Amino acid sequence: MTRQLALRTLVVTLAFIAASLLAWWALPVAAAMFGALTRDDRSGAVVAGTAGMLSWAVLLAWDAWAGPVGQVAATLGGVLQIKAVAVYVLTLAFPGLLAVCAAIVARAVARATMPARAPAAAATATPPA
Amino acid sequence: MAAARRTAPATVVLAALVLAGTMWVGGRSVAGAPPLGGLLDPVNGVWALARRALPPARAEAAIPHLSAPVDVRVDDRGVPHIFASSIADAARAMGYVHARDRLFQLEIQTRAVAGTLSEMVGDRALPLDREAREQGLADAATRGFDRLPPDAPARVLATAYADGVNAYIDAMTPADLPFEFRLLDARPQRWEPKYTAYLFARMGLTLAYTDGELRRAAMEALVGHDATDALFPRNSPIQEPIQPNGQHAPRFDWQVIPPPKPGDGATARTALAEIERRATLASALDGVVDLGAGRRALDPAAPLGAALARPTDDAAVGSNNWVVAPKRTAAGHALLAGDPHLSLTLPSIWYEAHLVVPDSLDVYGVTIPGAPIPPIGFNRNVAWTETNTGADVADYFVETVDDPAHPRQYKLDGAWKPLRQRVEVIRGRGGHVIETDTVLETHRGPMLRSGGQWVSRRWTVTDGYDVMKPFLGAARSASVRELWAATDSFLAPAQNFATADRGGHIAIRSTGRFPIRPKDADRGDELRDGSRSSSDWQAWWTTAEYPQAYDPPQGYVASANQQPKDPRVDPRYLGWDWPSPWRAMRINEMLRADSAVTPDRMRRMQTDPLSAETPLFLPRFIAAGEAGTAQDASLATAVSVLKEWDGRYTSDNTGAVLYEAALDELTTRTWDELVDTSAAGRNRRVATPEAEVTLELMQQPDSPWWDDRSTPDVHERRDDILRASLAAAFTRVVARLGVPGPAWAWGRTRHALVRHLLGIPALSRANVLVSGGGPGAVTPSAGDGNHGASWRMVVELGDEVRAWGIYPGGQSGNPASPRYADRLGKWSAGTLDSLHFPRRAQDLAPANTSSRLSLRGAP
Repeated sequence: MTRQLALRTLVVTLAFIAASLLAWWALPVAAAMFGALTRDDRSGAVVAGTAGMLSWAVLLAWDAWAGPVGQVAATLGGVLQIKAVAVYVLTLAFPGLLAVCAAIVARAVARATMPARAPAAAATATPPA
Repeated sequence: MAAARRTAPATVVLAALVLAGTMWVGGRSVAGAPPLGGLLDPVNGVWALARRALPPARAEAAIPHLSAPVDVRVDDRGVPHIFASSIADAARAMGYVHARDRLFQLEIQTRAVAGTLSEMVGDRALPLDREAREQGLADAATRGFDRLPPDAPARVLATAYADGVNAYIDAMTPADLPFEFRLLDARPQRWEPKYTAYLFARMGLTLAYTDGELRRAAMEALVGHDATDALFPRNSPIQEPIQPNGQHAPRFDWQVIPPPKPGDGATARTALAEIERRATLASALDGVVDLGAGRRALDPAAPLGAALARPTDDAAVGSNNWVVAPKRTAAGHALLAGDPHLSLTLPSIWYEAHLVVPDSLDVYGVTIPGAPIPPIGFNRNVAWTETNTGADVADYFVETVDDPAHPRQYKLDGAWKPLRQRVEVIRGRGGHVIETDTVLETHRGPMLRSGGQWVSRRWTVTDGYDVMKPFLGAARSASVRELWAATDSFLAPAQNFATADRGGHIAIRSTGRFPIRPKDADRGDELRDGSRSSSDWQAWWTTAEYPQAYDPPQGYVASANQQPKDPRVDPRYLGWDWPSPWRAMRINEMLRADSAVTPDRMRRMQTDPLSAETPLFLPRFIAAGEAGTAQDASLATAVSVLKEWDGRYTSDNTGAVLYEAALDELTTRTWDELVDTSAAGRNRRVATPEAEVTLELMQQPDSPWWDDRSTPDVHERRDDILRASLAAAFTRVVARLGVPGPAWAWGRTRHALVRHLLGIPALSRANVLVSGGGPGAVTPSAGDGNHGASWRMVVELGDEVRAWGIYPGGQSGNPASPRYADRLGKWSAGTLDSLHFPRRAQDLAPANTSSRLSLRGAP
């Protein structure tokens, strides 16, 4: 289960990266879709939140490879009067929060409005207990 | 597998609320903070600045109307060398590169002139916009630009430059947006050619705006007409003019200062209120707009520096330039030093660039983002640099209007003339109208309400002219004579052009439009009668009449904003209240003493730690203090500190602090008559004479000006005030810094403060140590540290031109870039970079090349 969960998180992370390349607001949209698709799965929100943070962490690492992100963090932190490390935390917490909340809300809406998935379909989305 | 449990409704509601809130702060500006989503987005948000910290090693771009490819090589100092096949193409490339490196600067300085800051930052900029509209600089610049013929250099180059700026803006991705736009949640506007004219209008506001008439009115109301004339003389009491007068030392023209005569305090207060209003706006315009961070917050040392500043410290700023003929240089080549002083900002007002067009142009210098041609620089044959002339080129006329409450006409020579009405609509963020104002203008210029009367202003800066023609001509000139001919068309703001060429010629000329006033009212420092046209300016000084010197026999010539012409040579009115001549005196003293000047000596002169003022005041403090040492032990200590002081303003020097504090006390105590002590006056200082006037008063030890008004029973004389000033200064410095010792180091009190254009502390650099300089030194340092040497340059006009330079900042406007403030350390230490000056693109060695940009025409 752990390996499958990790794999799923990885796939969702890649999807969120692709969404973020479009625009930042595409990430909660993607998370909502994921939440709706996994409406029968209790771990969907956690996966979405984790993938949200991971996706921006990967993109941040790409920025760091290309230039001085430490200087950006220090500058923005100075402007906002917070520590540079808080800028990193904020940058990772923001997509995580968006993804978790979007997934929870979408899951609830989906469960309320859409029929439950067939066991077979659910089995493909959820690892066996 | 069992179906998953339903999520608790409370959790869903909470998640929905958090999601909504996060989306809200992600997409909307909340409490002044920019939208977090766009800001923190690692793809297109602020983090993208890291990817844009330096230009890519190789890049290509397209610019409309480019006639041939342009090769831009950026050297290891971040300086672009632009190799183009036409001057217009070079201007296009310059626009592109300026936009790439300084886009926010282009935007903010344009909006400051146009009075459209509110559209970008909101209502908080309304007072600035209102003032800009009232000044009418954008209106005048637009009208001047529209009058230009199609082939005028200003129109051709500004249009080409706009092509380049807009090519960059159009090709920008969200990731390219500069940091400040993100903070303000704004986008750059497209660049219009007329904005180049705005830039020069703004320079006029910075360098040639005077409110002398109002200040005089305030002074006269307090101390009378004759005393005002003496305290703010039209001729400096110390003559060390720019145009050599044949003397080999400064001449002291001491006059008797008449005693003060009480006047009308109400008039003083009215005039002072107007001055203060304008001063506040002028300083706000300097930083363009402040997002809430004051100068004090920026610089922890500022309170200390300000506390030890003189009341006249705002005048302790200025520029220097000098040239030395081959006969007085070690290598036998002419040398030039440029040292313009301005507000220190990040990014800097200057941007270094080198433009090459085969057989047409090969100029290196400092450009101002907004214009393609450097106003200061050198080519293969000539070098030039400017200081501000400070001539009086603005007069105020008291107008007679038909209805003081709602004027529509003004009277001229007995007839009513209609007032021009300029309707100004100021918009806020989103484009909604937040204020509509009507500015009235006579044939002279805009009218303003001052002291209960309508006053119009005539100002050369708003005349409008081809601002590019003289600078393009200078850039293409092959000799000093050619440069003079090219700059004949330079009108405003008047500048002292120091020039030298490879033929060994040196020269200086105060160039600009200087008005000739009617004979019966030839002073520009008094309000004029607007009801008659004979009050208007009659003509202009001819270029032959300009203060100037070409190959003077002394072999050198210098300017430091001092009075340009000795009144014994030409008594006509050119201005008044000239800055103190200490810098000019010290520079000339050094040049007289050295007949084998080297480029490095020129560099060291730019940060010389001595002041010509000190030897004139210091002995008087010591002599007066010694007379009281028997009764006062602390005074004895103060005297010993001053006696041991070597007169140097270096960061570790421990004597300068006491001397400056003593001079501050002396100035404050001597000129107490210029403080409005009435209840309504709120103890405001109306004005403070320059230090040389205080020195002039020293010649009258019993003058009533020395009397301290707070001690009516005692009549103080000069030495009483000198002694009391020294004692008070000592007490003050001890209270702040402790007993005399290392804590009194000059460097603790004076720092440079390089402010970001928005005044944001995190983007500014405070507490920058300066290698040397004090209020009267060649590098004057004002109390807040925000003025100083904005560009230091030394050029040797040898077989091959060699040049060195530095400015306090960096080429990039991106705060994440290593080139944002990379030059501050060297500037602070007083060192200069050697400047690359390749003839061809391939002459710039690969080791000295950091990136390349290939520009081609866009379909």
